[in-house]
Amino acid sequence: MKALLNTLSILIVGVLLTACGGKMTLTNVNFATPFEKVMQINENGQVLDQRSGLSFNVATLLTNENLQLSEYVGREVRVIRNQQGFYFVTASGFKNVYVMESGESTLKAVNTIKISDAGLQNPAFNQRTQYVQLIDSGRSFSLTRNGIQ
Amino acid sequence: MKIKTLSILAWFALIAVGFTSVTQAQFQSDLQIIRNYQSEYQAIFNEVKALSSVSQAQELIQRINRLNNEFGEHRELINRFIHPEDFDGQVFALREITEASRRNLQLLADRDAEIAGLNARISELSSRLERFRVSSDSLQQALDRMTRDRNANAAMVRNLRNQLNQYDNFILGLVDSLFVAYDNLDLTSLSPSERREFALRADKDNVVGHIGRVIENNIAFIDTHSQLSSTDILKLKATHTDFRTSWHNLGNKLAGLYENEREREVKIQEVSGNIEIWGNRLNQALWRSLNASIQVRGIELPGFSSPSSFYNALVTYIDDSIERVTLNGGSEDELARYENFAAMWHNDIKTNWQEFLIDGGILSFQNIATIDRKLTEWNVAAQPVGFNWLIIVALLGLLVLILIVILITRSKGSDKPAPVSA
Repeated sequence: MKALLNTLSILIVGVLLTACGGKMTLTNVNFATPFEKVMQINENGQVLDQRSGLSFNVATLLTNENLQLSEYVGREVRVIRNQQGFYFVTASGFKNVYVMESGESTLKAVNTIKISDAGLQNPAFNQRTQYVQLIDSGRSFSLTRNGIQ
Repeated sequence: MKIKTLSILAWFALIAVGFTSVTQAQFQSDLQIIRNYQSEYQAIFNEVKALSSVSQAQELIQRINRLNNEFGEHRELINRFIHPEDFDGQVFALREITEASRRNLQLLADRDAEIAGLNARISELSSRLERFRVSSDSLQQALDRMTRDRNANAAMVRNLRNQLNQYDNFILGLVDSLFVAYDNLDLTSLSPSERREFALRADKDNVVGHIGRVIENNIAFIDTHSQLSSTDILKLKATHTDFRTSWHNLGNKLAGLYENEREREVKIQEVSGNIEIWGNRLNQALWRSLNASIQVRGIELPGFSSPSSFYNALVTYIDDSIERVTLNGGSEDELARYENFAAMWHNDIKTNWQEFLIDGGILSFQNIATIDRKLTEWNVAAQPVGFNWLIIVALLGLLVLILIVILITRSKGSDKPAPVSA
């Protein structure tokens, strides 16, 4: 019993020490980029924003949209980051907007927002205070991490 | 009924279209707005670099105004994108460089217009010059003849002078006209080839040659005529002054055109030198004419060839005369001498030359007043002593003598001793 108490005490102290002297957290961070980034897909499915240096591969997204990479080489992918730091990704011909969060050299989808069964024609993102605006052919959608508002 | 239905459908269609366009207008891509702005900004910027006329510049300024109106409401958005620049700064800069280009183009356009006007003026004057060239040649021949035969009669001289005047006035007009035209021209704005073109033009029209001929003619005329009237001198002097002023202005401009042409530069300097010679000859002619109008009355003044020596000669002559009369007393001869001089002074010099002498700074009003006062003094002193005065003086002398005799006689009578009584 005594040995159990000792073990528990050591664990509690360890947890407390980890909390106090471990990772520091900053608050009130606004990740919003004022403008969408428009990037061209290369033959490998890679996109690159020259100004920010953001780069990733969209091959998985195209597969998810049932689209052929070969048909999308040279076409544009649009990305915007909202205040919370989630990336919103779409392109013309996509049915969805993908909400993604950044990880270690990764972007992981946290939500897929269905916009149009026919596919978007000419989408564009605008940064707004409380949401990300998606416009397409005269239509507007207010998007958050959770979906259409 | 059918028409009514169609009408209602048309209204719905119109409203639908209107609504759609409003909706579309409301939803714009921020990035697209910025791209549109940047595209238009860059297009205007490129246009500024390629501007070639004032009207293009004015159109571009209007285009900048439209850019400002169209994108002004998005300035905050644009500012975020183009940071550290800003929308208002970019529009202002566009306006400034376009306006500066417009001003430069306007200057060039004005200069082109001036050049065109100048060319037209020179062409017009050239044709007139050609007509005058013929008469100028005959004038030159007449002058040459007159130089050989110095006994040319007055009528011929007058006639020649009139013709020379016409020619002088024409050339003077030409010089003035050219000067006005050249003066409006900013020589520094001309390219070397344009400058050369003007120099050649001036050469072709022989501008310098004509001016040189006027000067030579005037010098020859002065040299040919030893005694010119005050009217002639006045006219010649005025012509000379006008030419000197005009040439001073035009000569500098022409020198600017010919700055790399040594030979022509020398030619221009030669004209300037000749104008000075003309002025000197004119001055000599003035003294000659003044001297002649004095000598014609048999008055021998000390020599003079400058304003001060002329004044001193007059004053010295009068002072010497007063001194002589004071010593020797007035007489009919002295009075005649005075009257001769006074006639020369009042009738010749003052009547004919006073204005010229004053305007030319040869004599001042004070000088003239001094001479007038000395003449009055000479007049009084030169008066011969009258006969009546001699009789009165003699009678007075006799009266004094009688009174003295009477006084002496009485005094002797009173000194005699009284008789002694017995």
